[in-house]
Amino acid sequence: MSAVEVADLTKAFGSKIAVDNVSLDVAPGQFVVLLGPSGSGKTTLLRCIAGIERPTSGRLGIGGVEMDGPGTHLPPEKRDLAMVFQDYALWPHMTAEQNVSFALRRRRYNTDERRSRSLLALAQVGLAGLEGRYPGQLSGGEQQRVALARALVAEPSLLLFDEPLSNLDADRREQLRVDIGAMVRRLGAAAVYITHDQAEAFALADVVGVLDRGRLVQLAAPETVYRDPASEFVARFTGLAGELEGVAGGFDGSHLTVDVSGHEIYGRPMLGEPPERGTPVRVLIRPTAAHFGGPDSPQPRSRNVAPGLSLSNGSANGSSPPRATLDAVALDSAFRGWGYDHVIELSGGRRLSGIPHSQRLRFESRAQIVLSADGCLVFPTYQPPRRTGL
Amino acid sequence: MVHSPRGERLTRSALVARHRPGSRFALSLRQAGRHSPAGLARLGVAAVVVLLLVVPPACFLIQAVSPRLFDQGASWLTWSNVSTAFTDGLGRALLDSVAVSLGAGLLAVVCAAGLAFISERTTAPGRGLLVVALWAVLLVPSYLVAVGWEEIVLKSGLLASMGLWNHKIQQTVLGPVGVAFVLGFKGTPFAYFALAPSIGALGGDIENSVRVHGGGRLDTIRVIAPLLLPALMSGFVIVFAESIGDFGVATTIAASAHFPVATYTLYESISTFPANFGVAAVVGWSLIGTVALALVLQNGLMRSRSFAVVSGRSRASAPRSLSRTGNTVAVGFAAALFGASLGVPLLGVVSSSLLVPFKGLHLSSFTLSNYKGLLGVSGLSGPIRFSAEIGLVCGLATVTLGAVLARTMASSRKGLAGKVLDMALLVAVALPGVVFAAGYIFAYNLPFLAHAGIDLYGTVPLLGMAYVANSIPQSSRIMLGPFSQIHDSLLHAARVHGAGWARSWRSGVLPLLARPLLWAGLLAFSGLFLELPISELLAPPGVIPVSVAILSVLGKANIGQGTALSVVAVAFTLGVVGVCLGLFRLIAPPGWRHWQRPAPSREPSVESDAPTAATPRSESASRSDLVGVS
Repeated sequence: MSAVEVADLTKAFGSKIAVDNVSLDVAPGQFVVLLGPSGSGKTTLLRCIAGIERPTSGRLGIGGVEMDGPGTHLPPEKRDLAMVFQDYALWPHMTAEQNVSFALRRRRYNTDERRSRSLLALAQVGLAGLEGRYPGQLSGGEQQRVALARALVAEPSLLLFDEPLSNLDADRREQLRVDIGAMVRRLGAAAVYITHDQAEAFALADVVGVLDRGRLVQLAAPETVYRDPASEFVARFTGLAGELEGVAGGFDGSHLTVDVSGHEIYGRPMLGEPPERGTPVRVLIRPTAAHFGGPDSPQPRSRNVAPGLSLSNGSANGSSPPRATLDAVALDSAFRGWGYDHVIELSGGRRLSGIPHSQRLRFESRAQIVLSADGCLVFPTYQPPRRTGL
Repeated sequence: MVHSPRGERLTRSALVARHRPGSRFALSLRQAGRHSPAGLARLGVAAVVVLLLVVPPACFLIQAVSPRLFDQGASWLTWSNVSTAFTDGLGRALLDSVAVSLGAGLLAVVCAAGLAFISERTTAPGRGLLVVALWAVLLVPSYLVAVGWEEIVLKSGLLASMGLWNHKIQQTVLGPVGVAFVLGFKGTPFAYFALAPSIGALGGDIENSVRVHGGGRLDTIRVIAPLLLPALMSGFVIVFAESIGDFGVATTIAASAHFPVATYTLYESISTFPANFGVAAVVGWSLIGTVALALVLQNGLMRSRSFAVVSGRSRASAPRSLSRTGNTVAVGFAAALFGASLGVPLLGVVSSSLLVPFKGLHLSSFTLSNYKGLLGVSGLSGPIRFSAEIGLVCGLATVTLGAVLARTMASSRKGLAGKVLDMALLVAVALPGVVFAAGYIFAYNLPFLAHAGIDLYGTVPLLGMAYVANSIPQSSRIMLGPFSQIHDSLLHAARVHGAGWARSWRSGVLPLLARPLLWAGLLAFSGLFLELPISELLAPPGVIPVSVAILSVLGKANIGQGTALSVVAVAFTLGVVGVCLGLFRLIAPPGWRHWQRPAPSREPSVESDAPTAATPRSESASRSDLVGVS
């Protein structure tokens, strides 16, 4: 039995379709992150699951019970779930403890038990001693921790997160992300979490769903989404160093040769069959696929990718993926602590960003860029409309 | 696997097979055909508002050109009422109204800007009292302020008792200048509430950027002044509209000074026999048209320019500490202003009620006979009781309906009904009370209603309906700000965590709105308790509201008793306001009162970043919301 089952769900506001025929399964205990830019429909989908929005069509079930369908709509309070809101949605006239204990009223505990559970939940999120504070007397991070405690305290089987970290600064975001992941997994609840931050998505998710203009364009493990994006949109949204236009050449069974302004580079063909020789193609380059050539240059690293993601999968026959070397000029360098991220310009004016080096390269100094075929994703320039769902 | 609530097992393929989405066109058709309960409720509310607010004035106003529509004349379309109105002096009255309203608007904006600067940008002593004093000005009706000034400058008034009477002073106060000043002082709170948030919110960075780029104080003013233009304009237009539609000063100072203004012309058209609704409707149109013109001019000035100065990143500038001279000037300015707008007229009313006329200012000339007389004069305690009762009932009805309307308008998805509502309320705000009253007299006196068994004309329920209809636009606008600031997520959070619709509102939202609702209720009650034009025109025979009683006693030259009744009425209003606010402080749970308080100083906790943008709004913002001005 799925924790959440969404079948062909559509939600329209007037003539605008916010969620377009989405189908999705969330297994019990699974952490699903819905990733997409603003306007992609991820918040609307989450609100449909919460019961805040009523789907225009389609079905939605939680824990095996139909929540939405033709003639059926269960209000949010009947769904036995909890939610953490982007703006925290704490009631400012209630103390932290009152906010948390509100969620326990449906559990029919007595007052003492509600209080002790609320205090325990607040302690678990690191807010022991602040239970008497009103939200206005807490910092942003503390407020979001109260919201997290409120969501966890009743131990629901489904937790929803609506970009809970987007209002926090970088330090607090990372701390709270770790806490959310740990607490949700400890609770064993299924979670649907939405974000527009791919790093956050890859770090938290068992499964990532990418939404584009209301459609679920890919639903897969983070590694798959990164390595085999279902579309150029998914590839771009999950991080690129840059893009190059070229013409397809020969295919050796796993890698495709691409002619880019007279230079040969190699890449992995996406979307099934490799394009025919002479077909115009676009090469989308992952940051991990590009590095500086030469003896002092570092090898590709797993930067910008969540821990656990393995990217050096090698070629189909087990040998190292082919590499291409291109001449470049350094345009910009940014100190990152571990070294420098560079923006370089290739001949023809195309730029690649996020190229690592241990040394700062001077402005307009010449360099060589090595592109590894595994991180160069080749898409045909013309793509027939394609829907990649489950 | 999904189960229906009836336990039916539905596989994925079965789900898909049972429901295949159609084309987008079909989808929008399905949407259009489906009305949610909330949508129907909004439609219902809009219908009530249209019936209550739009239909009566519209029936009346149409008489200007089409008297036959409701059997009031022979022509379906005629301009004769227009020419008659102008022949009877509408042009002069309208010009007078516009002139004094322009003066009042300018005066109010200048005074309000000064007060807003003092309260928002300085540390002058007594700043906290400014808002209290402004609310007091707001609560006292214009006719009482006017009567107070009359009682100061008349030959039988306080100045005369002190031996300071002067004909020129009397002539100035009881003339166009006096009318403009009284209206300007009365409008100052409106202009203040429009201006103060902008003056307070003008980021310190804007000033700093002028200074660091070499600008002096004059340059800073030059940069900032245009940024305040929207607030200045809206303050001016609000006061202008209030002044154009004012009936209190029109029926007191202006009438006794034989200075005709448009609202009084309208009143005369329908209060003389036979009533001429056609001419009155023309006057009504001219009042509405004048306000509309002001709004159009305001929009024209604002169009295609951005005046946005407030953002999430704005940093308000720190209040400036004034020198001793500065503090003296600031306090003196505020004291002079409130003295003129409230102190002097109240002194006039109180002194008139306590002094024996023409006896000078001695201990022996003070008397309580007027107050004792109030108890003896038959019917004079009745008006207070009647107005209190109807004020309470209609005030509650106003706040309830106003809250529903504010919520509907604040909703992010208000739909067509919401837009109609918004427009109807905006138009109704611009409708003077006297036009409302005329509309109700006309519409509910139409023969076909009596034939249909709706015989409300000349009854207390009709008076109550008109009271509510006249108060709702202001009340809903007052609550619009606070309702707009309540994020839907607070309701959603309550629903998601197990509370039903009613408990979500009761526990999650209403406590946050308690204070604005209380203020809106008190304002509605005070306004209705002392309301004049509707009371004057719609009070049924044998029923005398307070305002009618006051003017009636004053009209019989029983000045002392009239002013004594005014003092009692105002004291009663302020007493009710004070008791309600006191009870709120005593009874309301701490969270209802303290949620806007800033963080107390504390030991560093887990995290020490300052409260974020999610923390509640500032004091000045809440004040502006309270009067619905943004």
